[in-house]
Amino acid sequence: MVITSTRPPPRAMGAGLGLKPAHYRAVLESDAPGLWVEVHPENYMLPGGPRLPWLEAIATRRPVSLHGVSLSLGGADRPDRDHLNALRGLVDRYRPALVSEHLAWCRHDGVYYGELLPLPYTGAALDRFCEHVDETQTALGRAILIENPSLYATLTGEMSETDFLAEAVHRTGCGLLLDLNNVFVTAVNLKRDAVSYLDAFPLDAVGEIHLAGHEADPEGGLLIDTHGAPVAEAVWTLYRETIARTGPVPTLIERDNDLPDFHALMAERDRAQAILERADEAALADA
Amino acid sequence: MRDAGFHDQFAAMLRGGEVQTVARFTGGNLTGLPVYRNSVVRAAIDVLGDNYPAVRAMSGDGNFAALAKAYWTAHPPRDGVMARYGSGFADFMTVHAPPGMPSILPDIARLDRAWSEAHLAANAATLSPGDLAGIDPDRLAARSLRLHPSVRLPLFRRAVHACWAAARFEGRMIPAGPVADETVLVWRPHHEVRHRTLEPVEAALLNQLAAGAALALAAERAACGIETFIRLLNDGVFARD
Repeated sequence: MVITSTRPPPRAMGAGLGLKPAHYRAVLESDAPGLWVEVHPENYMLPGGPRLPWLEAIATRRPVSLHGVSLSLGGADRPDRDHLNALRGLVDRYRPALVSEHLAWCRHDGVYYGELLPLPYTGAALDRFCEHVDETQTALGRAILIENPSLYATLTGEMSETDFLAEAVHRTGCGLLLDLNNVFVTAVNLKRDAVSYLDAFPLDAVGEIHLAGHEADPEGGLLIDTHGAPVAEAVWTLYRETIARTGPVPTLIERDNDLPDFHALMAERDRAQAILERADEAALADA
Repeated sequence: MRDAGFHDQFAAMLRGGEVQTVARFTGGNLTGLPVYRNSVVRAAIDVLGDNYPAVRAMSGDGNFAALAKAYWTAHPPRDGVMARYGSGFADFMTVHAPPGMPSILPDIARLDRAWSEAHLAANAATLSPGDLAGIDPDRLAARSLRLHPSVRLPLFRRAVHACWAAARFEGRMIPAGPVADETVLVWRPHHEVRHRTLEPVEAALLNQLAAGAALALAAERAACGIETFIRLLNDGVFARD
């Protein structure tokens, strides 16, 4: 899938925030150009409660992205039908600009593990992953984006992660969500080169970028993708280099833990927004 | 065809197996595998802590983590909707709470659960006094009333509500009240969850109405007057049909 031409301009959908209940009102009242929000649909698969009308109100003013964490597309088991039906219900209700999931698994034999787990990049795993993506896209009636993972261990495989993703894009028509913090964390943990990874990444298929913070594991030398710290400078550097290649791409500041106040989070968002708007101006000047 | 060899082995490692069980998938390099195992357990403890904040406050972080890990081992989540996870935590604690933990913890857990269920229950408009204005008294007496979907009415054999509220909302520990029946009303009439103890006649009336009795019969069985009904009506515990 080549989605370069369908990316929205940054003042319509530029840099967004992971939406937290503590920030519902502030997001609703913000007039920041380009601001959009992303939620985990699992937090809205509920009979009722205040979360739903808040999201409904925000969705009338801002683009919304549904970023799933539990479809387990990299699992041995097929996506859960009830979960897919619930997700379709949210897609119909909120009309999200983007829907995404992960190159990972998190459910096996009826147990949900609550973490994004790695899979070996083999031909058999690719076949199965593509079947699951196909099934999801059919159930939702739309294409989804797939996010590259943070890795803490090297699994023996038959192809690189970027080749795996490129083939999944080719076979299923899905797009990609490029998480640059995950690229950095994995590169450090597995002693790889982040820039080489990006050189091989199918950037034409990227429909969204994630920026997040990481922290060092106190018990080892690994970096952990905690979403509990500001975006690291090294990740901002990767971001500027990526946007220079891709042009503006909707970008999310992901912060799930140790949540700062809205203004502090918006300062990080504004930094990404400025990079996107400069890239947009540069592209227009070149046109 | 389902070939789950890798996932079977990795899942067994996550559930407490040795990291060596997945060595054949990592070329023998085991570095980093404990991160996955630790993260899975940590995530479950965090979710249970979010869903049971008063239990966590009263048991202390270390005790709570041990209890939550034991619960996760016996009852792992089945899907990704984490707000639902832990429905059996109170019953589990009744049997498995380690010695030295407060004996009222299962009741505290039931109140935490009631709060979550009320918070996430289906939306419904509440019946207001104005909705009943002008209704013929005989028709009103014969009418059944539906409780708001968020209403929860846990009954305890000891007064625990004040203790729970202090721990959950103020991080303050106070002794449990006397041994006596206490019904707590937990509900969400609009966007915010509310909670209070019920007078015995209020609890009796709500339980009768919940069982389907018409208003007059429910009031007779509960031995309550009209003022009890009006107080509950003003609280917004009934749904407007």
